[in-house]
Formats: sequence, structure tokens, C-alpha cells
Amino acid sequence: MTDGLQVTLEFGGGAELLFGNIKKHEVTLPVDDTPWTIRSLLTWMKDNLLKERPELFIQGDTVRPGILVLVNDADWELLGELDYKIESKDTILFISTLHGG
Amino acid sequence: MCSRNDNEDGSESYMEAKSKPLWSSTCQKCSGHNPVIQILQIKHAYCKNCFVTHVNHKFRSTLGKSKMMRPSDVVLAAFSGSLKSHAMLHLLHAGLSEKSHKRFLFKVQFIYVDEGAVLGLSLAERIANLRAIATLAEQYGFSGHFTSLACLFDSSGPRCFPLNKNSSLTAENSLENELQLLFQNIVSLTAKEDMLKQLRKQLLLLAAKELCCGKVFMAHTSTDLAIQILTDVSLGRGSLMHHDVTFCDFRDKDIKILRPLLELSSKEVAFYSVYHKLDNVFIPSLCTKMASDSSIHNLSKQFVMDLMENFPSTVSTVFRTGEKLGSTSSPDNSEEDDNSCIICQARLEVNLSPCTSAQATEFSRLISSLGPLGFDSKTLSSISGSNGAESCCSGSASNCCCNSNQDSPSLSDIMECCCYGCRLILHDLKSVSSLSERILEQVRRRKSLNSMRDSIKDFLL
Amino acid sequence: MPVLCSSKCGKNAILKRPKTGDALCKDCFFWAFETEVHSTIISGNLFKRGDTVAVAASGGKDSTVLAYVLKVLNERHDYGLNLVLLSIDEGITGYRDDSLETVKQNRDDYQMPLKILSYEELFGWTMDAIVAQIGRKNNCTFCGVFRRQALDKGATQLGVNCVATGHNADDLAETVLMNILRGDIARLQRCTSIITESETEGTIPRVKPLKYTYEKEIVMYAYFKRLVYFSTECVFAPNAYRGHARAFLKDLEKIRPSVIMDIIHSGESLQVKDNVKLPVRTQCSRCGSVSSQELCKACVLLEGLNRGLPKLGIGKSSLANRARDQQDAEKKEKVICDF
Repeated sequence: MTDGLQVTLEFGGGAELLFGNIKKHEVTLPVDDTPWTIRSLLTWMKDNLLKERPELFIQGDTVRPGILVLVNDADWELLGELDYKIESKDTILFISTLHGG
Repeated sequence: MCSRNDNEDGSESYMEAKSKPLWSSTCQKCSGHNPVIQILQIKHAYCKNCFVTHVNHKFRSTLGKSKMMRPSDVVLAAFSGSLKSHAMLHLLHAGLSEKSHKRFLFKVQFIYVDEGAVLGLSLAERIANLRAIATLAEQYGFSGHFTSLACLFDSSGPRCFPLNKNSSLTAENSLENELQLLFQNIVSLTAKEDMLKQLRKQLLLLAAKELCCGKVFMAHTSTDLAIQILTDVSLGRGSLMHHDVTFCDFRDKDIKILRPLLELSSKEVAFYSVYHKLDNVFIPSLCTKMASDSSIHNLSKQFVMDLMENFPSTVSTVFRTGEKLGSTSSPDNSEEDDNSCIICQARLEVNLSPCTSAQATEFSRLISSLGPLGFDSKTLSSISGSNGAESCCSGSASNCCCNSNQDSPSLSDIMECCCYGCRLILHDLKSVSSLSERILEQVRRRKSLNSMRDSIKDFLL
Repeated sequence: MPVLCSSKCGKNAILKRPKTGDALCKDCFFWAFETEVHSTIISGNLFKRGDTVAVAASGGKDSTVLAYVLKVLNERHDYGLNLVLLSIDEGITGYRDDSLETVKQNRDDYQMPLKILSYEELFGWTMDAIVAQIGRKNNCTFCGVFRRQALDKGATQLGVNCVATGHNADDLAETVLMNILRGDIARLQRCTSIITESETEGTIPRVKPLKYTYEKEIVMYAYFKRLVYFSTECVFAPNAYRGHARAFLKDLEKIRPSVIMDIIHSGESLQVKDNVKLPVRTQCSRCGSVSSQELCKACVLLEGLNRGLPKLGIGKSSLANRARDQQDAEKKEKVICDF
């Protein structure tokens, strides 16, 4: 058995550029007293995963406007956004609509 | 004086704050499955199936409503490898695969524009992009083409080449250098992006002509168009803005540019591509990884994204504002060539009012350089009268610039052949000589035509 | 190293002009500033010899500079204008009472007659009283709508030919953006015109001589000329927060300073589709002001205040009508019960 919460983080539409150009990251979030939410995940990503220009991904305590978040293919707006409680094996996709073309 | 709400009937509430999503455990359309997407414009939560159907329907109805498509049409879809242009190909393919009466009858080809020379990519990277694009589009079976931005400067050879997984680029050096020099000489990112947009559009039109396609499809979403409206207004392009922000750009008399995704938001298109597992080829643009205050376009984009987050209904209001703009006259096909901007081909504005922002800026420039001592009050009347363009030689001196074709036209010569928006690009250009020979040639021709016209105007009835 | 004045007068420049990027010395700046306003007045055909012109004076920088420059130009170029100051007293303690002192100072300095008109005498309500009833939400709506009508009424009382307002280039560009954000196509089309069209009989035209003047230059001009103006924020609208459009405009200006003129150019040249319905402007059936509705906004707001239904003019007009009808119905019922 493994400690911590296993989740898949995916990036698309150009957001992957800020994460070493890798579209899919399998990560294990360390065990914590409080349940993991997207809010705390973002902080964790900023410290552990984000390779450059954090302001292009995170603004304040949320994602930069123009980046969409999907949890298991569902719109995070239906799931409580930042307060969504992450479960084991969740796939969280960050997709940027900011890129032109 | 307090100028808040000055010109308004006082609606501070012109921006409606975002409301919490209507949480529902079932799809509001079929009441069956769990909802997966909140569509803000209609405040509905849809399940995957209903959502995909909804996007398909919007796409089809946009084309149907326009009453512009004919069975004999050949459409050239602009495909950049981005998610939304991929979604457009996917939607077109779906429409062509329908059964019987629902099937699209027009034909589809696609084109990829290689802009690598301007974006600072190596030849190897550009070839890799080319092949990745070909691979991505392969599944649809459309006939594919590619062209390079530098081809715009090539007046003789063909501009379009067949695109497949073995396609290759041989960067024709002198033209590539000309293109790179032009962009190196533009000092601001704002002007670079604007120039690139104008060049890309021209190239797409030329390519469509070469491939005998009467219509070009571009994958702009309603979100893109809201951004475009704010950008165009800020770039002084208000008069022709409707061509950039509505379904159809009919500036070119032969080829129409259509935007079949314009009823969909960028969010809807992104979800559509996720649900169909559409991949993309990421090619950085001029503003990739740039801060939001790096250019007017980038800032407008950030502004619209912020609105979307906090006041989503305002974004559709902006987009609808664009829809109400238009030309008061129908496109005039007999339009003389020398009445359009040499950079963007827009018709030059004929503003009869003597008191305009453009004139005020010109006047500011004039008196700032003349100063009180050099200023002659007669100058005031001449500037508010005509455009003040005077022939440089009053007689027939054969070595004067207005007759000679060798000399490079001056900045003011070029300005006269440009619209307001393109003049702003020129202001950010370090050296006029870096403009393409094609543009300079047009200026020379137009200038000598004008002076000819001036010299014979007394004899015309 | 000091930058030399662009006019080659030999002096050191003191400011960089946002509109063109030229650097000017103090004297050349004063001259250029004034000459440009003069040029706008002439090319826009704003005044006729013998006109009486009311300068809408608030004591703020724009109207103070406007009054001063019009006086200077009237004398220098012999426009033959009769200039008067017109001020509106909204009845805001701690703000308007102080700024009116500045206007009185202008009256004495520039030797112009001053007329002060108050919301209280025109509408029977001060802003203090309105805020006491409706709170801090929407109060700027009341103030804006009432001011507009107050200026019209004041101008009529004074019998002037036109009202000159201190709207500057930044204000105009902001209004263009604002009307796009609000989707108000009718205003978008007319908000950049230098003279408000007086298509309805009996309206006094308004002109904007500072239409092409940057706010930055107005502040610099007032500062170097040592003009006295009042610069406190209104107590009911604190924080320099002037809405999203203003913040966006300021950010745009940082990228390209000419953007203000460019936006005005866009506003001046954009066209509206033939088939888009624009509201027809008629006269308010109650007070005779220009209005696109049966009742003008000021009358609706006033009715709301007087009926104790301050929301009447704020939301959609259909809701307002329903609230009004409901109250009327209740009243009728009461009357019947009383019998």
C-alpha cells in the first residue's frame, strides 16, 4: 500500500508548457490532516510541479482566468471549484483557452 | 466634476456578477445522466451526450442560418493545430459524414500556415510541426495544403504545397530574410501581432484563390471575437471592425472569410475537444509566455478572461455589440484598387468631418515640432482643409521622386496609402525600407497614378 | 542629460506628450496646449460670435482648466463669447460645499458670473437625503441622472446658447469602452461627437472643447499654471475605483500612449448596421426633457424617491412598472377600505 493520495494531473491547450511540456503527471499527494482540495492542490503544484512563470498559471489562490479545470471530465464549476475534495484516482485536467490560432 | 455614469442612464449594474451555478444532479436536457459541464450563457448543466449534441447543433445552425453555403462550395479551413481549429475540422468531418439530408454538401480542404520564420523556430522544428499537423488531420481524409508566411512576398511562384506526413520545407532564403527583417524592425509586440494577423489573412486569401476555394473557414469562438472587438477598438480599427468580429468578412470581393464557431464560447469548444479526445500541436505564438501587459491584444485577452470569470454575461454582451456593427453600404465590387489600404486591404476611410481624432493627433505632432516661433497661423487652415499632400515637384523635372521608380517611398507616402490602424504599425517600424518590395511597389504605383491624375485633372470634364 | 524641447526653441523639455511622444518645454507646452484647444474649437465649429456659453464648473481640474483656457482663447482670438460659470450643488456635505468654494474662487479670478443650482431646489432632494433613504448602492445613478438634467435646466434658466463641459480624451475613450461593455449601440454611436446633437427642440447643445486633450496634460497644465482646483474624491464614491473600463484603459495606455486617441478614432468611425433598431429619442411626457422612454430617467427616479420605491428606475423598466402598478392598486384598495 502506498501513503498519500494518488491523482493524475493532465494539461492541455498549451498549459503543459509551464509544466516541463509534459501533458500527463501521475502524482502522489502527501498525507495531510485536512482533506486535499483543488485549493490546496494548486499550492502544492506551485511548489512542486510548476516549472516557470507561476503567474501565468495561478492568480491569487485560483487558476488564471482562461484556464479551465475538469475533474474526471466534469466541469469543476459543478463540483464546488476550489473547495472540491479530491479523491484517490481522480484525474484533474487543466486546459488553457488562452492560446490563439 | 464627477464623471461617473455621466453619459449613462445610470446603470452601474451594467456588469452582472457571476451567479453560482444552478447545481443539479441531472442533466437539464435529458434528465438522465450526471451533468458534466456548466454552460454559462444559458445557465444549464448538461451531460456529455447532450453537450456534444448541443455543440454540433450550434455549429450547423450557424452555417444554416447564414444562408451562405452552396453545395458547389469548396471550403478552405484554416488549421493551425490548436484545439479549436481541430474542433472545427472534427465538426466539419462529422457534418460530412452525416446520413442523407443532414449531410453537408460542400467540399472541405484545409491549410496550415507556417509562421515559424517570424516565431523564431528552427527549420527542423518547423518541419516537425508540419508533419505533426499532417498526422493530426490525417484521420479526416481532407485534402491538405501548407504555405509559409514568406510565400506572401513571392509574386511569381505557387504559394500552396500539398501537406502530408513527408512534407518538407525548403526555406527560400531571400524571402525568409525579408520577412524576418520586417519583424525585427517592428519595435512593439502590439504592432508585430497586428502585422502578423494582417499578413496571415492576406496569405489565406491568396491561398484560397490559388486553390480555387471561395470560402475560408476560421476557428474564432465568441470569446475570441469579444477579445478582437476590444483589440480592434484600441488599435483604431473601429470602422472596419465588423469584418473582424462577425460571421463573414467580405472585404475581399472574391473570397469570403467565415467563422462557423462564433456561436460557441472558448469553454464550449475546449470541452468539446476534451470529450472527443482531440489532440493538438502546440506551436508557440508571438505572445506565448508573455505577461498580460506585453501587448494590447494580450491585455484585451486577459481583460475578457477576467470578465468571463467574474461577469460572464458581459462577454456575450460585448460579442453581441460586435454583431450590431456593420457597414452602411454593401460591398462595392467596382471599388478602385487605389482606394484600399496597401497593408490590410481595407477600404480607406473617407471622413468628411473636419474635426477628428486623427486630425487632432496630426495637429499635435505638427505644432509640437514647429513651436510657437515656427508656427504660421495659416498652417491651421491648411491642415483642417485637405490632407495637405503636395506634389514634391511643381513642374516636370524628370529626376524628381514623384516620377522616379527607383527611390524608396517616404514614410508619409506610405502612410497615405494606409488605413488608420496600419499607420499605427508603421509608427512602430524602425525603417521603411524593411517593408516588402511588393508593398513599396504598390506605393510607387499609386503615387505616380495620383500625380498623373492631378496633372490632368484640369482637362477632365 | 536633459532632453531638449521638440520645437527646437533651445530650452529643456519638462514633459513628454502622451499623444505624440514629443518633449516640450514649459512655454511651448502652454502654447501647444492652448493652440490645440483653439484648433478643436475652430475645426469643430463649436461657437458663434456673440454666443453666451455656460462652462459646467465643478471646481475639479477639468472644468477649472476649461474655464481658464476658454477665457484666455476668447481674449487672444477674439471669439466674442460671453462666458458664464454654471455649477450644480448636489447637496453632499464635506464634498460639494467645499468644491463650490473653489468655483467661487474661479468666479473671482476669471471675472465670470456664476450660477449655482441645487438638486434640492430642482428636485426637492439633496444627495445626502437620497443616500439616507437608499443607502450607498446605486446612489451614483441618481447623482448622474439628476446632474444631467440639472445642467439642462440651469442652461435654460441662464438663457445660454450652449454648455461647455470638461470631458477630456480619457473620459471619451473610457465611454467608448464602457458602451461596448454595456452593449449600448446607440450611445456608442454618438458618445464621441463633439457637439451633442440637438435633434429635439428646445435642448441646449453641449460641447467638449477638451475632447482631444489628455488628462495627463490637463493636470500638468493646471499644475504649471498654478490653477486652483479641488481634487477630493466624492464622499459617496470613495476609492479611485472608476470601474473596469477605466482600469483597462489605464493599462492599455501604459502599453501604447496613443491608444486614447486611437479608441476615440474607432468610436468616431464605427458604423452601425442598417437593420439594428435604435431607440427613438422623444420628449419626456412629464418634464419635457429628451428621453427615449415615455418618462425620462430623472422623472422615474424622482417618482421612486417620492413614492418610497427607490428601486423604480434602477432595474428593468418592466419590473418598475409592475412595482408602480402594484402600489397604485394597493392605494386604491386602501381607499375602498376607508369608505
